[in-house]
Amino acid sequence: MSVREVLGEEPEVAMAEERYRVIGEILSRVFRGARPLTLSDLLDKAFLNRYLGIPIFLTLWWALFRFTFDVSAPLSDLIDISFSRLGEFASSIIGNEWWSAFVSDAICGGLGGVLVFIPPIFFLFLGLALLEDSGYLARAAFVVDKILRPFGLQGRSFIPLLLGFGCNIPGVMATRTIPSERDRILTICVNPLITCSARLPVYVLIAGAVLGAYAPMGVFTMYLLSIVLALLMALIFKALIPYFRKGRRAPFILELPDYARPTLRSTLTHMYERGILFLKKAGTIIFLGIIVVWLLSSHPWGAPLDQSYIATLGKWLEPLFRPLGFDWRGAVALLFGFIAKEIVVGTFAVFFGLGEEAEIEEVQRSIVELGVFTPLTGFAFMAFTLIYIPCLATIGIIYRETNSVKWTLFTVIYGLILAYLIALLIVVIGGLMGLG
Amino acid sequence: MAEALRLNRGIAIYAAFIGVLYLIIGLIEFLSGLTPHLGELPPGWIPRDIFGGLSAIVIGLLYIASTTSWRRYESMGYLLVATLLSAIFAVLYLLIAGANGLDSLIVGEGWSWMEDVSRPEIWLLLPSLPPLILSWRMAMRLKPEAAPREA
Repeated sequence: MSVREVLGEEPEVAMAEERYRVIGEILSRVFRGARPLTLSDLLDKAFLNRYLGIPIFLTLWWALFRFTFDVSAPLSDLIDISFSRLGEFASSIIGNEWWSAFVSDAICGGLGGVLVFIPPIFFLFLGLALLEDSGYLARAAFVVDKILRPFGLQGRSFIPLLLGFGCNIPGVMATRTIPSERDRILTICVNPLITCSARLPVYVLIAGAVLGAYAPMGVFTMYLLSIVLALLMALIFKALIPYFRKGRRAPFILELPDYARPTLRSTLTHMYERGILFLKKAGTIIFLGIIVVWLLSSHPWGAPLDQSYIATLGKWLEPLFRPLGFDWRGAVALLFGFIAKEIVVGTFAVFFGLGEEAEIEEVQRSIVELGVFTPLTGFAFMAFTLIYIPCLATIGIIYRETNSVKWTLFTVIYGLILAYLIALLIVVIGGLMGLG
Repeated sequence: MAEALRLNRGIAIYAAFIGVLYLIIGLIEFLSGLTPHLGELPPGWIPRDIFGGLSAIVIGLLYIASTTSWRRYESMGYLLVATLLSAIFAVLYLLIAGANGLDSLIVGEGWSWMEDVSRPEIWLLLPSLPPLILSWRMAMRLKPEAAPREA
């Protein structure tokens, strides 16, 4: 008979309860009168309320989400425009065409592509530092733990997963609040399945082009699929991967700190310490990755995009994507999407000779006229875009956060396999149902 | 101490009134966000915002929860959190309005400041101020924090 069976509950829980019972007894002997009511007692009546605790948590998360992405937007745009102008300036003063393109597109474009992530990341960590320093984050983890536990995740996994809807980079970085290494890695592994905001333009483009009146439902389905897959994969990994099964799952016990007024210095220090790591670590990986892709997409020098090395690669990959109904253009768009999903729409525009700044309706019209996708293959393409790795930056940040090539490769490879399988299932089942 | 933290009847009625206001506005934001084909509904100053609407509903429910337990000290906890969330969302929407204005200057696009600043959650902070001040003043009279508790 195990200790758990004898006690009727987890030993850690029993020990904690006994410890606090003894503390209570001692206090009742040495103190007279009732325990004084504190501000934390009052606030916890609402924050830990059985019915309102989760809605309050979601409300605060929503506020953090808006703060991270909406309030930081002008700074991101400022960085984007500054680097774009810098690129134009560099291009105008450098005589050599290759060097001019390299400096303006690869260096300035690459740096700009990295630095636009800084404002939302710093804002996110500012918000998280405020929640943490105020003492609320511990309560938030406690409140959602019961919901996530059946899926092998824990309370602290919720914030990283929800932040993934904005951008998977801060989502992965926010896993630092999870103390258990196993739970942290599991949360990182499923985080890329949460559909980030960069994937939305792809859904809008394809759904608008091929799904007609069902376009909004198609986009909404992607969000639902995102949540279902993240929870399901966490459950599957937990059941099948020995690392996640190793040892007994510890019960979620935490001491709730008293609420405190966050100090400016402490909050800014927390934000800076966490945010600056993004610049130091991921910046180099993203930047180098963008330069490599620029080299592949612009060589042989002077050749059109469809004759570039990356297009050659796309044509080489085409047989692999044929069962899903994607031609070489779909394959190349997915390849470019590896760098960042925002590039997918621009890639289709370039293929149709419309230029990267083309209106979305023009691109949608071309997709229909050239028969790039049917409603079924378009939907499968959307699902593939949702599931495979969101961007190069996310791969970089997964590597830095797990400090493991193994887990980084695992996340990339399972994402690709799952994306392929789900897209294939959509095409096969849809085909059997007569949807075309 | 707990005795002194009860809400009086006047404050409880006032909190219920603000709670109902938040509930109505939250429901309109949420439902109009779900049904975009409603055309001109809701009026321009209430945005179609599913999650913003749900947030307003939660704030409204907290105000109402404070009145249902107004004879107990718990009511002060609900009122504190409700007013805190009112303030957070009012400041947040003001920051977003400012960010949108700044963005329009940077990108060079038009900006309707009236649309951003007229968001109901911003002006609902004004009627929320009296309970906010009252609840915080009462809460500040509490003893210093006790030892950490276990959950």
